[in-house]
Amino acid sequence: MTKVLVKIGILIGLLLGGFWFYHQQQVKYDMKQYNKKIKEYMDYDQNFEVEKAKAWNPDIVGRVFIDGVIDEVVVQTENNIDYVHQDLDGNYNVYGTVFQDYRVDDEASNIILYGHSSKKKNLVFTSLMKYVDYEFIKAHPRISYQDQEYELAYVFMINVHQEYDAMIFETHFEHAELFKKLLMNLSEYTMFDLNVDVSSVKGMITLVTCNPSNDEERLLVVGIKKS
Amino acid sequence: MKFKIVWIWMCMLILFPFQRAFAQEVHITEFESYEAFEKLFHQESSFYNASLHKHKTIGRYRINGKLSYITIMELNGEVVYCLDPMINAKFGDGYYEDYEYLNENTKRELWKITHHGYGNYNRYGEDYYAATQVLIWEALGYYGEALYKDLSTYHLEEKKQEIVASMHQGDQLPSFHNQTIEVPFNEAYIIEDHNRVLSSFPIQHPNLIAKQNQLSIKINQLEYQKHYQFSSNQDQLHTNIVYGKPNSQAVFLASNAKPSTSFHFQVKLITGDLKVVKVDEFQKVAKGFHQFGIYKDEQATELIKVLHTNGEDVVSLHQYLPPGTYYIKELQTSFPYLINPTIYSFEIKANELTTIQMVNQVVNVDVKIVKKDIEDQSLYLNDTYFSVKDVTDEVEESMVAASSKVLTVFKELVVEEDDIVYFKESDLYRVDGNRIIGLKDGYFDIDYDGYLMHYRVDMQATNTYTMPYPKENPILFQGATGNYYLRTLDLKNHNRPIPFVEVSFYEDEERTILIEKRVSDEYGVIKIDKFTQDVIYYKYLDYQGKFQQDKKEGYLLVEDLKWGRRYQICEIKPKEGYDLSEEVCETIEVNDVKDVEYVVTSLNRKRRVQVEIEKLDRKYHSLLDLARLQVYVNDTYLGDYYTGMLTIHGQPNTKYLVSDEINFNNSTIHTTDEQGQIILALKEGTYYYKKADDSLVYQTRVSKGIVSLADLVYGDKVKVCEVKAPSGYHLDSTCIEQVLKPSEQENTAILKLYNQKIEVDPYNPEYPIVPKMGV
Repeated sequence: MTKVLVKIGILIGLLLGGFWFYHQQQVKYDMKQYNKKIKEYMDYDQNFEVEKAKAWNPDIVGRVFIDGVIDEVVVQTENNIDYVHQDLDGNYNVYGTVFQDYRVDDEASNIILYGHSSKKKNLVFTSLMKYVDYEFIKAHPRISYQDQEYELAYVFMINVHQEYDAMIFETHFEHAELFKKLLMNLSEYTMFDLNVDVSSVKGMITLVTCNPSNDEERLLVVGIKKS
Repeated sequence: MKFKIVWIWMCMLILFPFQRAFAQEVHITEFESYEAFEKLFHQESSFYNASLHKHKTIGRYRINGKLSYITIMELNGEVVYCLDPMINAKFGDGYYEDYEYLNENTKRELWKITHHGYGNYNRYGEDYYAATQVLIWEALGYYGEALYKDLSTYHLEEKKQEIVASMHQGDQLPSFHNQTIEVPFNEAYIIEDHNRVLSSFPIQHPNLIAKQNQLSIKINQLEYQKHYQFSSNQDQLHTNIVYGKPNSQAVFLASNAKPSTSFHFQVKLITGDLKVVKVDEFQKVAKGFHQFGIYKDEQATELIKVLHTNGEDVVSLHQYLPPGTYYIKELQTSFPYLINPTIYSFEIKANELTTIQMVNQVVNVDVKIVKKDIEDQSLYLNDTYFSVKDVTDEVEESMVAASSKVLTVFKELVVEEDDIVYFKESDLYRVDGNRIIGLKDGYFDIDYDGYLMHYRVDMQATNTYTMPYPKENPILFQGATGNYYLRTLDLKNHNRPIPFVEVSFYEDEERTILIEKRVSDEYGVIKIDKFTQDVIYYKYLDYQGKFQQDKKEGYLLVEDLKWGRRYQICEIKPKEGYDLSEEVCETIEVNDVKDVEYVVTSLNRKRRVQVEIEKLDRKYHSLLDLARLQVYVNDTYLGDYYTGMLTIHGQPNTKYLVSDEINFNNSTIHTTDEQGQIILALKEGTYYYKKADDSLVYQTRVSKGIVSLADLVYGDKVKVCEVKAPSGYHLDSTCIEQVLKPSEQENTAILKLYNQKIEVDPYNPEYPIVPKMGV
């Protein structure tokens, strides 16, 4: 009887192991196919035409690119949760997809992009953590997004469970001076003084990711667009 | 007429030989003819009938070897004399009142000879006649030898001496002639005539009694006769006639020609002088018309004398009152003085000056201080407090504004720490009108540890005065052109100012009259631009707490101020909710009109209150930017404001200047938008703004999480409603209201509004969220 039970257990274990192995292989395959598809889109046109990409996923709104740091497709829905753990094919993906704040539109002064980072894996925004180094900032100072060039201006960290200036997550401002006020405040928060002349700033992009070392912290890398 | 002709013929017969002898020397003038002399005597009708009716030759007289005769002659019963020897009367004639070719002294001498000679004082006889005739000739310059029938009988020289002695005695005056005799009041004062001639003078006067050679003087009236003159009683004698002119028959009446002898003297009561000085209650001269009565008695009923000033403050009574006690009372005074009813007594001492100072009160003046709201002058304000100070004798600082042209650099003076330096004020400078005249050459003293040091100031030199005692911390006292001051410097420590060094200023060289002590300020400076040479007179009327307040009209009546004085009225506490007047102190001269009430209108502006609305995190109390607040003042919408921003509300398209300096250096120009607002993101700090075409300046403050509202008024009701929460926070739709009544020390009212932070809810699209992006 005991032997029978052992045999049955081994069999179940083999079945589960086989299922897990199959699943892993399937995921690898899917990721490979997914990455292949992304690469196809990426390679299809170096300029990444959004309208064409929308044929694959209508939520795609752009591509964020920092030479040698990140190069990710960006989606946007009506909330800030859909793509936290979802890929472009609509499948669950724990690493999610880089997404644009649902409030951002053509009038937005502050374009906010969210992306995951990890200690162990090189996820979409993991490389942003390198911007805590001043030399890295000087080596990678430009952000490209939606045919616009942004000059890296501010890098700072917030703790979402403590006191912080939530104005950085504002996308629209009623008055140009209010946007200017935001920039002036960022000058106080930033880790590095990059001598930004706020009077000439016409817009900004904020890349947000978690601090892999502390879930409560967010790293914000801000680029500005000058007139 | 018949007798007259006979007299003429007789005289011609007697004098014929002499007339023949001197025919060559005789000049017959106006009387050459009978008709001529008759014409003359026609005018002198009273003498016309005179005739020489008696003559008797009693002797001879020889001059220059020529003889003449001495003949006793009479005319109308009066004795006559020949004026010129050896000239015979040729024919009869009358009297002639004057004898023109003799001078006055000669005439008087002839009168005295004839008066004291033959015919008077029992001097009769031929020898007296001859002596008189000879004295007359000698008085006229004819000196010769008298040849008489019998000289031993005649005693001619003896008679001449007697007559001359009589003449001299007649010339003597009392010994007090031409003297001033001081006599006591109402007492007999006796003086004696040492020349013993007083009896020759008839003296009749109520103040004088003459007895032999003593004169008693008694003055019993203050108004008395001071000058006396008396003539000799011999004045009444006029009995002598002197016969006339050479070879003419003119005769003059000598006794009527000249006045008699007289003497005079002055009497002066022994008195003292009185000087009445009028001052006002402030010991200032009181010029005007002041009338006083001087009385004998304490009740001031027996008036002695009335005195009055005539526009001045002093009246004197010179040499009038005898020694004694008197009383004086003011009878009349002039504006602005009140009559002084006090009866003062005073003592007069002989030949001394007694000075009385009589004090007048100055008429009272009421000053009405009216308080109004400067922006609504129909609104009267009560509950305002003032101080009223009499500053008549203070020198206004503005009156002694320094002028570099007249100020001179004060010489450096090195003394030691903790030493007190005494400056004689007049050595420092003097005030001349509205100028300060700088240091003159002169001296000043330093009292150093009991050593009195004298220094000379030579304004042309550049001396440094150093105390000759080594100490640890010498101090340099120095002055400067312009604003006049002393400065204390630590010479051992890079000339750093030494604060709080006490310096005493004295009026006098002996340093007994302290003007005041002053302590150098934190910069080691003592300003000395206030002192004058006069003693600083200071009176403070503490009206605080005595005010009469009328809530209806809002005025303060300050009573019993004095006309002619200068008062400084200072507002010391405004009505609650109002600022002090811009002109905190006002100086009024209460003498421009003869009014009993002055009105001083003072305007106050309601206190301006700074309002600061703080937007706070409810949990952390941190200040939050960019909340949008609607502000209402007294239920009137004022505008929307963002925390952390500078917001200006006004008319649309209006230009404003904004600067962080009140003088608007480095200002920027901004224009209001269509909603009439300007929103500016500025660094934290204080800012000033104003319309480009206006001078009214507003002050505000830019700070994190704060809305600063300038120029609200004390008592305003402010309502604040949030219309947009700070980023990441829930909107707090509860409006708060507050009436602005900050304390006087804090002119800022603070309103606090709190917000609740939004918790992360990624599924609630109403609020922006920060998704968790870690894996």
